[in-house]
Amino acid sequence: MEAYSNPHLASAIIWWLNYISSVGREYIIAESTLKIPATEYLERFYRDQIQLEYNHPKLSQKRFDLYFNDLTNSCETAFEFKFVREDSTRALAERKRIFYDLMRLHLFNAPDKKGFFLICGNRLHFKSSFQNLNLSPKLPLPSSKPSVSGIIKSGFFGEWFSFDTNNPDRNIDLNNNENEYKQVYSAFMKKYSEPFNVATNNSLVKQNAITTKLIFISEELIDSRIPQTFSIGIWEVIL
Amino acid sequence: MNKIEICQFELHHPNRRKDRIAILRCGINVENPKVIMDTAVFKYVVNELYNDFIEIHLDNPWIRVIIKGINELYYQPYMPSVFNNVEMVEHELINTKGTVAIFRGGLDSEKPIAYMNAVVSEYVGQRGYNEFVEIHLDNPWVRVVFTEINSLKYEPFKNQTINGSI
Repeated sequence: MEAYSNPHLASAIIWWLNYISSVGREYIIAESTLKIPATEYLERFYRDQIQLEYNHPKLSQKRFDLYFNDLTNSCETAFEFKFVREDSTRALAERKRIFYDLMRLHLFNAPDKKGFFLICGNRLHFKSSFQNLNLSPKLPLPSSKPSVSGIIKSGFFGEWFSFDTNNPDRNIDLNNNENEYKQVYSAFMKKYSEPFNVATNNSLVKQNAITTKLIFISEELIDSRIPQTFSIGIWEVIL
Repeated sequence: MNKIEICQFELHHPNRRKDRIAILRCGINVENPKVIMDTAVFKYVVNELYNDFIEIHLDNPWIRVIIKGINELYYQPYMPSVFNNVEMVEHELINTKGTVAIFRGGLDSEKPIAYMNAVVSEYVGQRGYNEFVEIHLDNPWVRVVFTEINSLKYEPFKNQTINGSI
């Protein structure tokens, strides 16, 4: 039996989503249903070690979407899932929730603990409402200069996530004073100080930076004749 | 139809500039349509500034819409009693019953994708249409909508350029 791998997990989820979409059952697709293909894949390796809605060890009343204990490698693993919908991540509340996911994973991190953020959605929504999300209207339209290789662009979430497999790490400066980020970081401290204190009896110390690492991002298959409705990405929040 | 074809037409500017829209397409049997179309667009635009649009469903790499001078067109309010601050410019397509319309708006909306979807839906009504968005997929505030795009007359793409004669 081949070993567990995040690309295989992503592949299992994305093709399950494509299957569900192909048979016309898109109405069941949501953040919570991602646990179905994820656990089906994980059962091959960790059947008795998987827990959903796992209590965060350092945050009272906060839970991870999915947790499993890799006894072979002595590593506990937590996942946060997100399903991006049309315009959903444009709202400040949802952008905060994504950052809270990253910080929950960061606070979980230890040499024997790993945290991953997994996001997927319809290809168009994944691009326009996540990968390339632009919060400021682009009018008048900036025109392109000729470039046969195209341009790699990223929007708001480019500050938190790399989409470039050749440069996968993204160091997030939590002292960034740009208002659109500052308000998110301030909100985290306000919302999570008490849960941290209750669970650990310590004060939550403001971090200067956290780092994410691109683990997997689905290929666009733009030249393929195989219909692919969904895109997926996995990032690890690293120590 | 494996080779590249092009259909170009001029846009009407209030200051009589001659900017234009071009539709480039290639046959569905080519192996790398994105690469082929990227190269064709590169050849077509030469050194000119342009905007590049792809079909909104991201499932059609065989066609691209190139627009020169998109910001200078003669935009007018579109259904101001229904939509807030949406502008549109519309051109009839020569020798067809179709049109091309460029919409921009939704700047005040928290959900510009949904907002502009509603605008386009209102515009096309029961007509068949093809809808294009900027290739970088970071601009939900602009839409290009064609009706009757398949009845346009295309010619082989040889050495036409964005500044050449039509």
